[in-house]
Amino acid sequence: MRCLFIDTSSNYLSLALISNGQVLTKKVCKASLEHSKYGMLGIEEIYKKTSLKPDDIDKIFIVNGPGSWTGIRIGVTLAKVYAWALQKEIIPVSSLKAYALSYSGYDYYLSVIDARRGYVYAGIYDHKYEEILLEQYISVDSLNQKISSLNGTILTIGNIDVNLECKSIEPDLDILKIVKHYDKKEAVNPHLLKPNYLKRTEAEEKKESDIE
Amino acid sequence: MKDIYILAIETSCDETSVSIIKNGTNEIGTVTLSQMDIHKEYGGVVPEVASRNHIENITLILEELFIKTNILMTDIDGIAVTYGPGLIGSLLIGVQTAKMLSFIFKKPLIPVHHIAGHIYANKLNGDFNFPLIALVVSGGHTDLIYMEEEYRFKKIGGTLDDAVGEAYDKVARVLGLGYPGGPVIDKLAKQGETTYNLPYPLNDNSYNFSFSGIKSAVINLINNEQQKGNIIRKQDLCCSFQDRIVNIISKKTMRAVKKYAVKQLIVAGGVAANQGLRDELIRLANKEKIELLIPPLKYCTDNAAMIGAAGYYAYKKDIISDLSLNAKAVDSYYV
Repeated sequence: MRCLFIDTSSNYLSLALISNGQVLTKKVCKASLEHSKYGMLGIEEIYKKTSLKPDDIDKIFIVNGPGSWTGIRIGVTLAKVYAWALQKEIIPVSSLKAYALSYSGYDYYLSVIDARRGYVYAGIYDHKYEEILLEQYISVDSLNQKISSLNGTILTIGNIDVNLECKSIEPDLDILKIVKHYDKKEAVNPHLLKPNYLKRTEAEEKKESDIE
Repeated sequence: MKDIYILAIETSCDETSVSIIKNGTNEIGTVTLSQMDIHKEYGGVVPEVASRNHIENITLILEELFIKTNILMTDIDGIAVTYGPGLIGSLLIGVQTAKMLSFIFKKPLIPVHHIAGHIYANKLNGDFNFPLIALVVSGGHTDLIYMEEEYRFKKIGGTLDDAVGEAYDKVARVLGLGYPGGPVIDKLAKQGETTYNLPYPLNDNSYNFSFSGIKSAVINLINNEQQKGNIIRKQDLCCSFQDRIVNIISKKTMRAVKKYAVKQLIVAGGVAANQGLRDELIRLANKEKIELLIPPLKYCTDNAAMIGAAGYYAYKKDIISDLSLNAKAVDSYYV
């Protein structure tokens, strides 16, 4: 089984071609908000390196959020068009869970992504990577309260600049482990694949509050 | 000669549109999903909402297009996409889609300027007669373009502030007429008279336009009348406003037509659907004996068919991009 992994949810562009549990080729680079330019170029590059053709893969793993809204839209568009055009299976991956899955040896994993203005996207997972705090858009203060109620060792993963109770490490994705975990999940219809924003637009929120 | 099929994608604002065009002039099929009803509730296009809708619709409308036209991806010679100007988040969806299709099917990627698309909408119902002047009037543009040959654009004038469509939307908003403003003002203007005295917008010797002054004048007029307790005669105000706009646009356009001694005047963009403007340009073109080309209403608003028409002529000129193509929000130049 061959598959393509795409993550454009953060400042980093992560791409990999995997065949039977082995990474054939990987590209991880800083592409600060230039995913629009480098995402497709990177995919072209990794195919060239392996001399695989687009039709040679079976599955696409796409990180569909949460994260930078523009970033995830770029990856999701590339992935869903690919999957639709060549009838490939597509499996959405959570950016937060991908962080947790990349590490081991702790009781809890706290994944955080900066959502600005005192808010983060966060999820907490136990040692079996079960979600114990549902992925959500949450204020830093509320998250700190949740953290203080946990008993055990906690690893905090995320590239953030907010005042959290515990210090965080920059995520270094273990793509093989992520793919292995998500491989058991069911594929989705490419037409229905969309970004997981975890938050409505300001315009929608304002409309809602005006009605209330 | 072999027929050339262009697949075109347009997502620059609030319409998700795809089309297949044969030889630059023959529309094989187009599928457009308008988000108008969604944005109406906000009184204008909300960029983030627009991007979120584009991404949910893009593969659905592509599939519908291929089913409807019975054309295969292997029949396609090139993929044309609007790269700008427009809303960046919206443009990105079309650009990524085009790049991926270009990569997996090994088809040339053709970057199309949105305004080149509006101009080339005229190829779907007529032909160009060079040299020509193109008047581009839309929600984002008010430009006069001189063209000597295919796919070569020289901008001789443009708006210094608001685009004409923008001015219509803003005036409609203060009059409580809803969004989009153009069609309503156009309709009401027909029922009114030019009883309100509004300033002539940038009535000078240049080919440039300015509509922020007349917009402010309308807002001030409404405030003053309301303070005096007078009722605003909406039909008359729309008529007075439209009269000034149509007058200045057609006047400067006709001056450009004479100065550049062109054979043809073509009109493009969403505001080309304005009946008041159409009627005046038809009248003046008849009077000056100049050939006039205006697209049918369905090609005036944003659509991928026009991008496919422009894409064909760009393809003929070898305007092809590699996969680094990026979306550009601001109007930099015409390719």
